[in-house]
Amino acid sequence: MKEKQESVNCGRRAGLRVIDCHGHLGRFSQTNIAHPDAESMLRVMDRVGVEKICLSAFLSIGPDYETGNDMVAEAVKMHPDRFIGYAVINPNRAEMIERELDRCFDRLGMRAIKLHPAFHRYPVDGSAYWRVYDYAARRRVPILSHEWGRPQFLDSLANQYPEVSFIIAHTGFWDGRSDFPYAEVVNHHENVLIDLAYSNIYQDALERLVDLIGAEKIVFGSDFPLHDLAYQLGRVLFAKLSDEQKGLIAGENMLRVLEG
Amino acid sequence: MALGVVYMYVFDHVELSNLSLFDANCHLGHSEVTSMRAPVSPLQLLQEMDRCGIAEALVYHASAALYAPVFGNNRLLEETTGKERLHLCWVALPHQTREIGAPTDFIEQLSAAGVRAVRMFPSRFSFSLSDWSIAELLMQLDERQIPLFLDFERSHWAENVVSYDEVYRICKEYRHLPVILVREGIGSTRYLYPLFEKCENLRIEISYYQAASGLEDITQRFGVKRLLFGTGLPIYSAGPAITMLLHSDLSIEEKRMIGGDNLRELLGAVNLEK
Repeated sequence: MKEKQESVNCGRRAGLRVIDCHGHLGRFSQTNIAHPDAESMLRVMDRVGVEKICLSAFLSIGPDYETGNDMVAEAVKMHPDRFIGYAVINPNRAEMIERELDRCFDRLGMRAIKLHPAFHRYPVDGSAYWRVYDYAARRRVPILSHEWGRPQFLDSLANQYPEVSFIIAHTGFWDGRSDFPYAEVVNHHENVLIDLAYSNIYQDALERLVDLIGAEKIVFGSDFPLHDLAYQLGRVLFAKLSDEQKGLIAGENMLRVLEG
Repeated sequence: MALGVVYMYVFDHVELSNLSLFDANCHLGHSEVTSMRAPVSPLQLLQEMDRCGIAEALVYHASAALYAPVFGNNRLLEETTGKERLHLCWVALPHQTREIGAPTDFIEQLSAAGVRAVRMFPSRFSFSLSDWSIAELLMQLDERQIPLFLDFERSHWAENVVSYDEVYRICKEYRHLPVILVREGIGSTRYLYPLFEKCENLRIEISYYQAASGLEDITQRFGVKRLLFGTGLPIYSAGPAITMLLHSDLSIEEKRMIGGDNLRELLGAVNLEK
């Protein structure tokens, strides 16, 4: 066995606090995840220099949100300083929403809500989700959604629920060329932020996003362990941005959201 | 090589220099989607390579891939004159339409130009990888062990764009031909692992292969030589693949091999004299 290179810890070495707003737990049907368990994830987080990751279980955004929420709760219980739990509900079982959210926030220690309208095949402006938005406002917890539909809808939500932080997932899809569709709504509302998690990472796109909406509105997300954690962080570390801007994106903004 | 100031605080200079990165996947020239800011000229590309700590790159020309191979291959020659860190990769097609020379002529031109790698875009140029279409050229490449980069222009990992049955057949029939799939993504794993198991001459370029612990898993199961570092510049950012490689749970030697030595070995094994 060849000697391993001394652990390179880019986050810590760069003096960044890295808080990942978009992680998962468990297996995923569309691909093999070599090490889908919490302990393996923790070892990678240590190696890469990621302090905390916010988790939802793939099982939750798939067929069984209750068992998935339990899996996340177990990880949070084992490592409360490293894992932050997202509560997940299924809008197709609308009558269960408040009960499951109560269970997640009162008993399982969740701190935010994750929505996946695409996998649950339910529109983000559908009536079941309004129960979630009301709940989030009452509990003052942030919501990360795989999608938010039209920017106008998010604009109305952000107006109606100023106490809720709305995070738009996967805006790393934007390649930096055309108009960024959410620029206006992000700029208009303090409680709307964007998450970078996306597989394609385009040259100069993050720098353009910062030009458009400012580093204060961007939070780092990876989709780990679907995507490699270091790969996703490389987008921030190698960006042509100031240290201060990288610090905000890598973790400070998400800490601010979580601290309310 | 001068490392950009941006990186000096993120990665230790020595760590990046030790990897001696050799980018297997980048191009010169504008594509349909590159902006004015994109590093598309040789000078701009070299500047971005310096900023990211990349020592060398194997480059093709965008106009060869997106317009016409001979046109772009010639531009590549013109633009890279005197740029020793940029190594040449020509784009090829089946010869029957006479858009490129007959296989023996093509190989002669390639040899004369010092080109040691070939790239094909079967989907873009609408051709078949079957023997009735491309066998004569593949035989020439196989005989000289000229690496063949197959680019199916994947834009998302969930797309099923690669003809894996053809990849398997080519690997089996042309056993001296190094076959490299570019921009393979996390959705390819269940295709790639059986192929790796059965095809020793198959490799992937890692600019889009971001399976968590994927580099470690492939290295452990199929050997470190199956992986070639690449970035996708100038369309994609170089930072993610570099960071993934640097932070992988691999030995320094393994990182060096993936980072550049595997590609150097492939190009060094090319026999243009045959």
